[in-house]
Amino acid sequence: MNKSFHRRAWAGFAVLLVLMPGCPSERPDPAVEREREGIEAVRIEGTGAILDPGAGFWNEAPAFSVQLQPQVVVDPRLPEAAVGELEARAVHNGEWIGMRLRWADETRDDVLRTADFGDQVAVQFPIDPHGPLPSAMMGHEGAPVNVVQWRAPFQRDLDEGAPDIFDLYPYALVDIYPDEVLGVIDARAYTGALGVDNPISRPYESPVLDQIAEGWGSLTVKPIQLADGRGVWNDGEWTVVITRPLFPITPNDPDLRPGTATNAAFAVWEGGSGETGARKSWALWVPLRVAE
Amino acid sequence: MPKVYNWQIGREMEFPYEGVRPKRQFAMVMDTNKCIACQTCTVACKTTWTPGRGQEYMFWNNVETKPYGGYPLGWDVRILEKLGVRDMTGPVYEGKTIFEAAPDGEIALGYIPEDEDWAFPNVGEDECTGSMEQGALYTMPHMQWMFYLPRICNHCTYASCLGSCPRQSIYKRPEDGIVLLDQHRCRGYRECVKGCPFKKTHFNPITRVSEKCIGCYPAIENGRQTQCTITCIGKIRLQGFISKPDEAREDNPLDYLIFVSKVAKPLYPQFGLEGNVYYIPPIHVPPRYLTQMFGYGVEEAMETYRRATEDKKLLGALLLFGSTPEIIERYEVQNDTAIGYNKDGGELVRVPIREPIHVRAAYDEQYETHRTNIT
Amino acid sequence: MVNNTLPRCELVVYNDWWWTGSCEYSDIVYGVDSWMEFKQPDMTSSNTNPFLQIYPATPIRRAFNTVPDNETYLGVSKELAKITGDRRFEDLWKFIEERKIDVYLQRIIDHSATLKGYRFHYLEQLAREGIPALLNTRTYPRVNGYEQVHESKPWATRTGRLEFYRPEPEFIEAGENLPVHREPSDSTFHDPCVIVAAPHPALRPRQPGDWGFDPEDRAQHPRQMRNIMLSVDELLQSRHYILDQGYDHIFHTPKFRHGSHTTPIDTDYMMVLFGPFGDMYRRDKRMPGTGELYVDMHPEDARVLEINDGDYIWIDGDPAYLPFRGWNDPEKADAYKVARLMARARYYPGTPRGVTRMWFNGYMATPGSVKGHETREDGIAKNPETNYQAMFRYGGHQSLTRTWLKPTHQTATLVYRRLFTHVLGQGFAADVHCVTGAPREAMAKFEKAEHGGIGGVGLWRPVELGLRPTTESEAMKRYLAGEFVNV
Ligand code: SF4
Ligand code: SF4
Repeated sequence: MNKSFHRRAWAGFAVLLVLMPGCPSERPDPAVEREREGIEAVRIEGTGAILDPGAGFWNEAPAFSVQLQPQVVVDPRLPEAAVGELEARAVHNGEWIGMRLRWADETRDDVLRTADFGDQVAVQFPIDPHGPLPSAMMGHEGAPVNVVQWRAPFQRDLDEGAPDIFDLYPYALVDIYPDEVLGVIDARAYTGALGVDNPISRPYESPVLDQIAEGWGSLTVKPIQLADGRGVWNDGEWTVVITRPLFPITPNDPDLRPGTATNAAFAVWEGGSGETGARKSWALWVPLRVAE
Repeated sequence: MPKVYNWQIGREMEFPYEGVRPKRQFAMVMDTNKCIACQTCTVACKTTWTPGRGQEYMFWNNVETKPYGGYPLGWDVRILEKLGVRDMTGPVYEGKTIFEAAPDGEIALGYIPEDEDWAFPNVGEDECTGSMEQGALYTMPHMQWMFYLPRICNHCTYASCLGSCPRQSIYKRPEDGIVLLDQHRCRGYRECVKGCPFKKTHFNPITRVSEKCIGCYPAIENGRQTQCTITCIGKIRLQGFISKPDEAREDNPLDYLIFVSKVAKPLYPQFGLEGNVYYIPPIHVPPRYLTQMFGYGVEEAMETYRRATEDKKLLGALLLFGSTPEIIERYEVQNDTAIGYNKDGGELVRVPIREPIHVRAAYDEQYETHRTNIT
Repeated sequence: MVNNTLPRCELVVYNDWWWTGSCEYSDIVYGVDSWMEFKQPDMTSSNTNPFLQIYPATPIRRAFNTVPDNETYLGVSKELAKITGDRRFEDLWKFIEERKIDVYLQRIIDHSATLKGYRFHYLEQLAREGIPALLNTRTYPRVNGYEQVHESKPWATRTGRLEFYRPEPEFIEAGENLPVHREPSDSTFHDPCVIVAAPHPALRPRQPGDWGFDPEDRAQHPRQMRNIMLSVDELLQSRHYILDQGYDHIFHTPKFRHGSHTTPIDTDYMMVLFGPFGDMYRRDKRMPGTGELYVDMHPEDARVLEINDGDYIWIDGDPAYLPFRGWNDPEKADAYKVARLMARARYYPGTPRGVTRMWFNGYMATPGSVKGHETREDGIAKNPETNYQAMFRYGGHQSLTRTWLKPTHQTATLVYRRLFTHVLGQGFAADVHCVTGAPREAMAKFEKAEHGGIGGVGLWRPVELGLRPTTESEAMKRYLAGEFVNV
C-alpha cells in the first residue's frame, strides 16, 4: 500500500518553510535576533540526572520563549493550538543536560478515560549535530532525531501508582477478571497492550520516553531508555524537566557534549483540548548551545 | 488521495491508500428477521475476548434495538447528521462518503464519542416507534416498528480506522481481510475511534491503547466460524468468505445471498467503507428508513426474501445459517437438502429444506410403552 | 412472604448453587453444584422441547466447596433416620449413597413413555460427544391432538369429545361450567375477578352469601370466590375499587428474555444488558448494580405524573396488604424501607395507556442489599455479609404482586390423560390439579422519587441527547423518518 500523505506532507513543509521565522525575506527585529541566538544550556554544579523543576539553578539559565503553532502540515491536523508559547531553560552539569519547560495549562490532564487525553511535552534533538539538519518534523530518512517526550499520565503513575479501573470510574462494578482465576500465563491473553509491553502503556522508570524518529509515523521507543524527567502542575501551569546524558551511550543517542552547537524542537499537547499524536502545537528548530 | 473501487456504492472513491483487496475476505451475513436480541452473542464475545482490565465497557459484538438503541449512544444518528442528507436513488451513490466529506485537516468525517456515550449499551431495548391506536391492525410495513441490529466490526475493505491511523498501527490481513490493531504499535491517539463511523474501535483506559474486534481470527484460521456466529440462539448468522465483486460464485452461500439473490445488504454503504458484514433487512420496517441504513435496493431484497420459498438455492443458503460451527466454503441443494462443504470439499452438514415428520406407533410393542406427544 | 409468612416458619432450609434472595432469608443454605460442576450425571426435559437434555459428569473443577444437591437430601434423611429410628428415610436415597445415580436415571427412563427403550449409559456417552437425544414422542415435530385428528381417537375427557360443558361440582360452583370470561384477578380497570356472561340457567355459581361473606369483600381470597356475574356493559361501567385511591395503573411483571426463574442474571455482564439502564462503570452511584429494573410506562401516563424518562420512582400497591400486611406499624419501619418498591421509569410507547410493565426475574432488595447500598462507598446494593447482589435499590416484584389461587385449578374430580400414557385417569393429579401461575399482576400507583440524571441532577442523559421516544431531537426525528436519504 502506498501512503498518499507523504507527498502532501512534504508539500506542506515547503509552504511552512516560507513562513518560518528567520527567513531571509524578513526584516531583522530584536525578537528574531533573540530567536537566532537560541537557547543556551548553562553549566551548573552537580552530577547525574537533572530532575528538580523547582531548583534554584534554573534562574541561572536564560529563559527562552518558544513560540508554538498548530501542526497543520499533515492530516490529522490541529486547527487551533491550545498552547501558543513555552518557556524553555537549559542547564547541564557536564554529564546530563536538563531542559525545563513551562507553559500555561488551565487543566491538569493526567487521567486517561475513553475520551480523555493526557498533557504531554516533547523536545527533539538531531542525533548528529554536525550532519545536515533533519526535518524538524520528526526527522527524515538518513537524518534521524531523538524525541524525548514527557507524559502527564506517566508522571501520575509514578507519583501515585498506576490506576486501576476504580481510579478512573470509582463506582465501577466488576465481578471478576481473568487474572484472578487464571494463572499469569493464561491470563496474558486478556492484558492487551500491557501484555506485549507497549511502551506507552506504563512508564518504565521515568515519565519520559526516549525515542527515535526518521520521518512521519516512524516514531519508535528506543530499546534502552536513558531520558528522565519530572513534571509538576501548579496553579494553571506545568513545569516539566526533561533530562538526558550529554554524551551518546547507546546507538542513536544525540551528541550534546559541552561546546556543541545543535538544535532543539518542541511540541506540546494539551490533553484537555483533545490534542494527541499529530494534533499538537509545535515549534521548529531552535538553536541550542551547550556551554563548555 | 488514491482512488479505489467500492462496489457497494457503484463507483470509485477516495481513500488514503491504494486499493488492494486481500486474497480472501472475511464476511458475515445476518438475518435481522430472526434476531431476538437475546444477547447470547454479546456475552459469548465478551467472555471470550474482553473480560480484561480496561475492557469492561467494550462490546465488540453488540445488539441494539433499532431505531432507539445505539452503542455508543446515538452513533448512527450523529454521523448521519454530520454527513447530511444524501441521495439514495440509484445503484450509484452520488453523495459524499465520509472520506470525501472529511473536513479540512481530517482524513475522514468523524467524532470521538464522549465517555458517557459508552454507558447504556442496551438503551432503547424493545422500544417501538410511536404508540398504537386501540383496535388498530398491523399492515405492512408496520406503522409501529422496531427490530434488532447485531453489530460487530465490519472488517471493511476500505477501513476508516485503518485509514485514520497516522501510525499505521491498523492493518488488514492479506490472507483473510480481517482488520487488526497492533497492540504494540498503537499509541492510543484514538484517531481510529474518531474515524470509524460504526464506533467499533475502543480505547482501553488501562492499557492506554485502542482495541477492536479481531474477527475471532484464531477460529477462522482453523476453519471455524466466529464465537458470535456459533453461539447464536436464533441461527441468524452465517460467517465465511465473500468473493471479490467480479468473481462471485453461485455455490458460495455468502456470495449467493449478497451478489446473486441480493437479499443481504451492507450497513450504511454511503459511508464508503465497503464493510463486509451484510444484513437481510427486516421486512416489516418502512423502506425509507431501511434505505437510509442499508442503501439502494432494500425493497427488492425484502421482496426476494419474502419469496424465498420459490428459490431453492436461496432457501438452501438461508437454512445453512447456524447449522455447523465450521466455515462453509461451498454449498449445493440436492433433493431438497442443502449441503455445506468445507474448503477441502468435505461434507460439513445437510439441512433438509422441509422439516421431516416422523410418526411412531401409538403403542410401542417392543418396549411396551405408549408414545405420546404431551407428557 | 418475607414479612408475613417467613416469621411464622420455624426453620427455612434451602439448597441452591447461586446465592439468591431465597438464600438471604434461609436459616440454613446448602451450597450445591451448578450444572457445569456435576460430578454425577443428570438429565432433564421440558414439555415443549423435543430434546432430552443429558448432563454428563464433568471434569471441570468446582468453583466452591459444594456437593451434589442429592447429597443434601441424603444427609438430612440420614439424620432423620437416626432421630426416628426409621431406616426408610435413608433407604429412599440408597443409590445416592452408593453413588450410583444412574440407577435412578435409568428407572426414570424405563417409566417414561417417551424415553423407554433408551439406556442411560448410552445417552451419556452420546452427550459427551455433543450428540443430543430426542424424546420419542408420538410424532416429530409434536402435533398436539394428532390421534384425535388423524386417527379419530377419543379425547381424554369423560365423553371422549371435546367438552364445552363442565359438569363437575367445583366448576358449577365457580360458574365456570360454561365457557365464560373472568376478569383478571387484579390487573383490570374494572371490577376484578368477576364472571362476565349473559344470564344462563346453567350458570348458578355460589355467591358470597352462600359462603357467608360480604359481597363487597374484595380482599385477596374472597375475591376469587365472589363469583359475581356481570354483563359486558355492566363490567365496562364498573370500576376497580382501588382506582379512586390513586392506584390506577395496571402493573404486569412478565418473564423476560434475559433470565428465567432465578438464573444468575445478577452478574455484571448480564445486569448491564438487562434493559436500557446498564452501565459497567456505574457513573451514577445510585444504581444497585451494573444494571437495574425499571417500569415501562406509556409516555403520556408518565407525563401526567410529572415523571421523566429515566427517573427513579416509587411504586406502591394496595395499602391494605402491600408491600406486606402491617407495613405501617412504626416498629416495621426498617422492613418497610426494604420492601417499598423503587425502580427507574422508562418511556415505552409500546404499552397501552394505563398499562405498565416491569420485567420479571429481578433480584429483590433484602435487608443486606439495602445495607450495602446505603453504607458502601460505591453504593452497590450488595449484602456486605453474603455478597447477595440486588437489582433493585429498594423492594422487588413481590412488593406488589401476589399469588391468586383459582379454585378451578384445585379440583379432584376431572377426567384426564395419565402422565406419559394414553390411559385415562380421574381425580387428583399433581400435574393437572395443582395451582399454577406465578405472581404477575397488580394495580399500582407511581410517584416520582428522584431525577434520572447522574446523582439525581437533571435528566437522564439519553433524554438530554434527544434520543428518547417522544423527546426526540430534530436529528433523531429525521433519522426515524429515514430522511437522511432522498429516495
Ligand atoms: S467497522 Fe470500523 S473498526 Fe471495523 S474495519 Fe470498519 S472502520 Fe475499522
Ligand atoms: S445470539 Fe443471535 S439471536 Fe441472539 S442477539 Fe445475538 S444475533 Fe440475535
